Amino acid sequence: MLSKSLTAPILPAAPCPAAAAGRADACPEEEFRAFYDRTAPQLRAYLARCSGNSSVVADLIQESYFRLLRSGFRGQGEEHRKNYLFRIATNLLTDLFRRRRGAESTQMEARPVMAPDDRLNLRADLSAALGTLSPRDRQLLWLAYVEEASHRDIARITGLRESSIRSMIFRARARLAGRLREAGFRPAQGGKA
Amino acid sequence: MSTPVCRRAEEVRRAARDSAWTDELRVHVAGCAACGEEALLASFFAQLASETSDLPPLPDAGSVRLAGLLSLRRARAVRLARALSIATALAWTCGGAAAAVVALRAWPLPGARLAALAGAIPRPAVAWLVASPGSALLAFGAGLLIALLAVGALDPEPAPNVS
Ligand SMILES: [Zn+2]
Repeated sequence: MLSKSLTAPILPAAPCPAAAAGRADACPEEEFRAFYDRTAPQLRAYLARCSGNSSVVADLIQESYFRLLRSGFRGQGEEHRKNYLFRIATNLLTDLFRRRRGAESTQMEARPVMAPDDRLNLRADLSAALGTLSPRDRQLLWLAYVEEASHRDIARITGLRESSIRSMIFRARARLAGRLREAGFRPAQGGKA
Repeated sequence: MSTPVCRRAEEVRRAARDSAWTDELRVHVAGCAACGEEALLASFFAQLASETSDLPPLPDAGSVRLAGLLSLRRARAVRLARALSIATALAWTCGGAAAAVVALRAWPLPGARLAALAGAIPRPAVAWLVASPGSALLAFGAGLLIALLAVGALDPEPAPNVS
């Protein structure tokens, strides 16, 4: 979960003194491994679900941590550093969508609304439902619902204005809810949806 | 437009995420459009987040770090080589200037002729350089200092492309 009480901005970066000299090896291996073990599974899920393409995930993970190491960014704690990592990953996703506009990512975006009788059958179909949204909507909803990031953190991660996050999430929610209802998805134990 | 937000939305979200529903909350969700939507979305994301079987395996932390470090060291070596080139060029320039000053002091006549020829060079500067015995050394030291500062001021690491 991303920090909700985060008060310091993600950018500009606040590198630690040693890392300010651009020394990634200032981040000891044990420390890096612990940070990686805690954050990589979440980052992988974020990248996979928001890119809709598992084949690029390993490269994006590698590149995200590489850029984090290169920046020497330590932040004001692990959550701050994790937000920064997610921001890097979000920028990589944005680059990926730009490069692939017209290719597979937009095929995914352009996917028609699922037919009402095409019932969601969990697993791949859940991803497919998310894939009917725009990349930005996917990121916003993933950060809000899975990472439980505050609007402020979402704004920092996505580079959007904090004041517009609320309404953007609101609209994205409505779009996804509509798709899920059309597909016949029901909350596990939530009563009537 | 979507449904308005309900004050129990957060509670519903937690219940959907943790699959911890109470009967009372279930009844509320059944009658509240906002919470119905919240439950739908929260449940959807909870299931999607827990589903990892279709995700690629994570790269090993050690290899991620090692690849990053190797790449960084390559970049650092390139920057160091560039800094050394600059420092070498500056050192040669300073050495040449110092040699010229020494030559001007040792042979005042050709020095004066050279100074006269070099109309573009301000006279006071030439006079100052020629005037004191330590000036050549001072000029050399200043040049070296500039070279060292230039090397030290080189950005060791470009900012990440996260704008
Ligand atoms: Zn409600």
